[in-house]
Amino acid sequence: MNLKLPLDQNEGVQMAARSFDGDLNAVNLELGAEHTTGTEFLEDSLVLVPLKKVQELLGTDGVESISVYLNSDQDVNSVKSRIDKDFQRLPFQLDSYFFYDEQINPVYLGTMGFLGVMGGFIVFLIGTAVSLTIINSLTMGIIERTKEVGTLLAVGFKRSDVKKMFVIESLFLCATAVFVGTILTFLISSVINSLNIRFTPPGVSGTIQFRLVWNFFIAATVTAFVFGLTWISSVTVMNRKAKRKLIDLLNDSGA
Amino acid sequence: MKIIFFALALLCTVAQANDLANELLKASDQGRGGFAEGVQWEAQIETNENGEDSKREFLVKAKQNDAYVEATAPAKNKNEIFLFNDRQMWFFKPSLKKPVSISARQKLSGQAANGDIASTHYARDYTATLEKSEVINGEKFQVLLLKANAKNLTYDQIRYWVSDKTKLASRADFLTLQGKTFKIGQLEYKNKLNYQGKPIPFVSQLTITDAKFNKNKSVIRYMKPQIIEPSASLFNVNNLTR
Repeated sequence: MNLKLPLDQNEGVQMAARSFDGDLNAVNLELGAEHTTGTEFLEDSLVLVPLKKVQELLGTDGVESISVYLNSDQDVNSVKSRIDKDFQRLPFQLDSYFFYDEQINPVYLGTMGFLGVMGGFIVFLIGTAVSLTIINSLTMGIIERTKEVGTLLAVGFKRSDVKKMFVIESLFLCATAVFVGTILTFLISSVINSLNIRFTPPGVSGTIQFRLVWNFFIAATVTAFVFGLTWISSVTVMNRKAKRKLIDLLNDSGA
Repeated sequence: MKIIFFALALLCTVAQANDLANELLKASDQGRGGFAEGVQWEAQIETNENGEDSKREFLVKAKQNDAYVEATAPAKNKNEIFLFNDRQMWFFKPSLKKPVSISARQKLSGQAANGDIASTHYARDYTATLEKSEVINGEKFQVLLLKANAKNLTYDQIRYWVSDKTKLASRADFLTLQGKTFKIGQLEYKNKLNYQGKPIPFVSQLTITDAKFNKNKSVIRYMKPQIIEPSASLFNVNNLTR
């Protein structure tokens, strides 16, 4: 390409290339919108040309591969199965692949795998710290109230009822914390997103906004994990307390 | 005193050798259409590259620094035009709105570059120095080293074998900027051209072979050469779109 930059939109240009037969060829083109590939090393070497035009330029009526970009609300699986059904009716073999198939996109898969391992390790570290904090808070909360457990048993409450009461109270506290935490995540993410904090990852052209996106699946998983942890911690501590003698419970200093 | 005399003698010898080299180059250009009048010929390029054969045909009209090359076969390339305006080169075909500027170094077909099809004036484009003399099959040849006078020429350097007897080039080694041979050209002169009332030998075949893979070669055949008087408008790039 011989381009004298900057070019104006709708400006006519000629694009020359060598056809499949090895002959020099050229076509007329009109510039459309400027686009970014999102990848720095492709920015000055990639151009989007209508299929018919590029076939004319390369002197062919065939294609090697076609990439189909779907709107975010479309189901990739159903579109792929529709395409596969159409391919089966053709007299020659055609294959379709998901964009994350290792056969056609090993770089994407490798990059995502690396990011997954890195993210997973960070989540593991945070999860461990949070789990220890929750276990510690709940355990200490019940241990400090050992005398209260003894008093309830002394006035006639059954051990199982007292145990149930403390476990339900812990779960209620957990539900309140999850609710407040959820509200806080909404608030924090909207504040951070509205600040439009931008950064430039290596190899990426332009800047990317640092965005916090609320994900229902992750929130549900964390909620279930926290509830499970609360239940196990409180049941374990209450079982140990319930095994002690009433006099020991009443004399407990809570330390 | 002796040293000064020796140095002057050496300088004179070098200057004489360079004059001889440039004279030989100018004379050898005649055999490839390098004269003041216009000349026309039909060119056929047969290429064998990586086991695949291809054939292209052109009609070439050249005058001094300009050349008009029209593709005549195969049918899909018919009416494609390569225009040489001095050292600027253009590609045009009827479906294009404007001619496209191209490089003389770009591949035309196989081993043949765009510039090979109609480069006639090596004496203008290159500076010659006499390297050595060689006797091949009993015929004495002067070996010239041609260095490009401009950056947009087809080759940076050419080693050129010009016959002492016929003043025609029989071999050209096309060199990279570092002086390595990457293509070898063999020239034959079986055509006759009636020039200024007498027949002169004119190039009939140029075989260009890849220096590393000698099975990859292109043969340019020059046919029906004749002196013509093309109009200047033929070489005007603005007239291509009209």
